[in-house]
Amino acid sequence: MAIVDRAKSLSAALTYRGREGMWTWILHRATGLGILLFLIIHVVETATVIYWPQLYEGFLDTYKSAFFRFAEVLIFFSVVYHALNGTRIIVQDFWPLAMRRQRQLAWAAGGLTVLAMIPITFLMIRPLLGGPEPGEERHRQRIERQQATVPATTPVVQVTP
Amino acid sequence: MAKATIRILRYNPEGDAAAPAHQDFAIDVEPTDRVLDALNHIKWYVDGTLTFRRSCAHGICGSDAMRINGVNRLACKVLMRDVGSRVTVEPLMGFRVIKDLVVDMDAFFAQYRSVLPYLINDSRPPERERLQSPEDRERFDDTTKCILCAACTTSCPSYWANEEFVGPAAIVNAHRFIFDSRDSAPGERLEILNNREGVWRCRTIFNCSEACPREIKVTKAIGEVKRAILYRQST
Repeated sequence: MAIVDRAKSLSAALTYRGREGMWTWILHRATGLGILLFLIIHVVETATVIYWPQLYEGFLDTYKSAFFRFAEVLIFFSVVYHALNGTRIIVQDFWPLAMRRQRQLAWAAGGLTVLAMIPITFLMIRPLLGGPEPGEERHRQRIERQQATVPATTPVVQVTP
Repeated sequence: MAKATIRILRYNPEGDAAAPAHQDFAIDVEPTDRVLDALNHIKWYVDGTLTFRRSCAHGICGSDAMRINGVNRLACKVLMRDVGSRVTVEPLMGFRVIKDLVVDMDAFFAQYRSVLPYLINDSRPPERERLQSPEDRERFDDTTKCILCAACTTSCPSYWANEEFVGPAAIVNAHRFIFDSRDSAPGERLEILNNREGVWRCRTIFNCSEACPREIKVTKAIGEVKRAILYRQST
């Protein structure tokens, strides 16, 4: 007897009209894979600082392009969402009563992510509009503080081998 | 009377078509008709070859679960006025299609039987019934409602991906006995569900809870079984 085999493709699965739980699950997967991809690129790229320092400098310049700045915003979104949604899942797992409010909790995780991403996106995109690099000002102040605490008259200790 | 178009995903194993294909039927329906009434109308007056399961037609036998407008429902519990004038009816996802809306449920019932879904108590039966307090009865009340329609199991992405997964329906029926104070074998069932194809394939997606026509809190029941396994192992 001929029987049609079961649908196993992602496109077939996406035709199911699931609700909040299904979409948050897909987003959780996608952000998780995104973070993994980022980590692989990040490890490879950082490794070049040891062997090919010029290449590493090149990477850092590439990251200042508009494309990579938006990509970095996406990475930040992935980390924030994956963390908050993961917390929601853990809460539900250890406290099944929370599942009565699963739709609201799913919206809460998404809402908190959006709220957090508003200032984060602003700070990360600002350099494209001529604003300062995030952390640059703080770095400059730290260097200044260090220099200020070192008295100019401190004798230089000569270390003889 | 209003016009409605019923789009049905059809498949005839003896026909020429290798793959299922949609077929539209334009019929007259009352807003208070159920989707099952529309299917019956088509089968009785338009095309007698249309094949689907139905038995009691009152939401308790669990025969006519199908995908209505993209989501698992019982055809006998959905009114035409709630689905609009264009309705798409497809067989449950994740099972093999035998013909039209009829799917092969052998594996589903095998998974149901695998969790020992019956009372196990080898102690001598008392003279009268085995008494239980209302609180103890309440503990598993929700999971007694299951009618084995498979709407939950075939809404589960984990099950679509892996048909070895025991599935929400089997876990619900295990839950019904695991938390029954009169049963003496909850440990055996927890052991079965602690298998790699057991409860841990659940990703708390909630499609099962949304699909259940009996409004069982399926994901919550699975969560309680997960916790029972975890706490049992840590003591």
